[in-house]
Amino acid sequence: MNLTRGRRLSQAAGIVFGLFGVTGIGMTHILFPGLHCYACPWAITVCPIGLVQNLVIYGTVPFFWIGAMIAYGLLAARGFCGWFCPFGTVNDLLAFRKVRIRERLSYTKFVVLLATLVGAWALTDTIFCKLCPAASLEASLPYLFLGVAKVNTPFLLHMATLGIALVGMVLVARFWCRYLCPMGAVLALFNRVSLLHLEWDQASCTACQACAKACPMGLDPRLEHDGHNCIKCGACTVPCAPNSLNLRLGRRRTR
Amino acid sequence: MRRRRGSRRNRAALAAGLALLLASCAGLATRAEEAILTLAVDPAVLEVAPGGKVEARVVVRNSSPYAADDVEFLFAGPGALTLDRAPDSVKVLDAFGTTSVRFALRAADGAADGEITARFEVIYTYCIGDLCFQILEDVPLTVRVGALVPSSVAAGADVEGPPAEPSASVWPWAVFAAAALLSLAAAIVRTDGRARVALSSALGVAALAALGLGVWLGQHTQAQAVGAVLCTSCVGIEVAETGTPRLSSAQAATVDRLDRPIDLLVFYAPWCRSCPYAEAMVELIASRNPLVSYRFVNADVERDLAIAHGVTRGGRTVVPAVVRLDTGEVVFGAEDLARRLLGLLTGEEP
Repeated sequence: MNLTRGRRLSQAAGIVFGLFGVTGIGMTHILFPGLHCYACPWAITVCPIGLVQNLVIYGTVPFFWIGAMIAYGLLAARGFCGWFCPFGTVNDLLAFRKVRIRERLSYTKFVVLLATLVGAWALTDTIFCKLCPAASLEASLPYLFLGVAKVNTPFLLHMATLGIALVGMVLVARFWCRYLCPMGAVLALFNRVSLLHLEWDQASCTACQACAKACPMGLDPRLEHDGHNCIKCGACTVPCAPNSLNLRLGRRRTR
Repeated sequence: MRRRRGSRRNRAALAAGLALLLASCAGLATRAEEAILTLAVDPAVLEVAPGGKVEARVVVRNSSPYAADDVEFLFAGPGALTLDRAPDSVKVLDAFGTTSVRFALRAADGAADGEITARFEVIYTYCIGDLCFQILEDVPLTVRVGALVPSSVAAGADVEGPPAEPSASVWPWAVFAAAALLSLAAAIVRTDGRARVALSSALGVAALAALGLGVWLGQHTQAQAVGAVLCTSCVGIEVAETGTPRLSSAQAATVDRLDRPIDLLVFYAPWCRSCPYAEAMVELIASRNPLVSYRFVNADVERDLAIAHGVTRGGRTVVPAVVRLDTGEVVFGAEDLARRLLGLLTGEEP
């Protein structure tokens, strides 16, 4: 099985896991390793960003949350964005224009994360959830059809943020993942130490730039595969003729 | 030289992991000293006219990782005050759970103006495994007699948001800060080889310690509860409604005209911002027409009841939700609630 097919299967598994509530098993204790709204009628997992806002509001020290985040970070870090996150998959399906990333702008996702936490603390409300495009897609729209939501101001606000995110994704591949996702910001902290990682063999590299053209995040994978923007999707390894770039799971080799 | 620097890094990373473990232990020790139940009267000062009645509630929060059972409230006060509605006992209050019990006090006709103090004696059972304790705590009540206030005030009608949480002690936050700093170090510090392995190991220890501590404190259950019961204002299905419920004169007349008994169930969750408004609205309607009766149901505790009455959509229980028992119809949310509740009560299109 080639890497692209394996990743598509993994992304499909992420969607199935995200919507496993159709079987009627209800909510579990598991935190989803991606941005997937717990308000989704068929979710069986808790959205880490939604939960951490609630914990900040309650004044609960989020041990369970940070333990799970570090564990996910050590396992694959932003690899979950590339391989599992359902909203990341939506980004992937609309990834037509793989333009070069604006490095400085990509720090906005950390600002979004910080603003989400400060907003929850200062306003004692889950402000991010009210703007989250994943919640628009996975909660607002289904609840409209289930007769719970109405077309009101919060609903229209959700549709507006979803619209902006979708337009952004069409214009810039992985727009949400590059610049705005707070969950991506959490996982990005562990990109340097995760077991899932990219390896670049400088000696065999011919500097053909095929990898940079294939990267949906607009990176030069040879130089930026360890940074906070790499989602470890492995798209760069596919066109690499001399096999200089490889996706591995396990201990990193010392360079 | 390079080797020695790497070794220093390893030692620093391991020391950070150990410090985190020690801090976790300190956090646990601090946790053990905290009160099990935190009890607060809402509103803090009750105002009542002589001969009048005042309604209020006791907010009970379990700040421990084990359930509190059979929480009973015994009133102790001077003769000028009598208990008009006794607070219901709480059968089980889950770990980290919050609930509120309503009560009403009546001042004697001849009660002198001034401040009267009374109290509830709260008795509950607290078990850790097979070891059980019976604990007695006092909740002081401050009642101001003589103020020109309405004879009946719906408790919670003007309460904004969930009940305030008691402030956490510093130690658990220190543990959290240490884990967060270690995570930040993983992002910022450029490590390679053995230093990276050491940092990963320290993070692994931190993850296990934090997960273990979280599970021990029941935070996984808290996470599940937040995900399982959805409040309509939490993810922006509607704007949180926290005002005082009112009926227009036409709506009040419609309520007065209801001529058949109607039973309602009002589903709520402790963290739902719009639920106090929905509860107070149902109380307001019931106070106008005694044929309307209601019961408040904590959807987080009685999930089977929520499923049985169609308050669960997909896999989510949605609150606030008002169920009319004879028809099984449900009204979700608090937006434009008076109009929609009247539709539920009259059976006509709202």
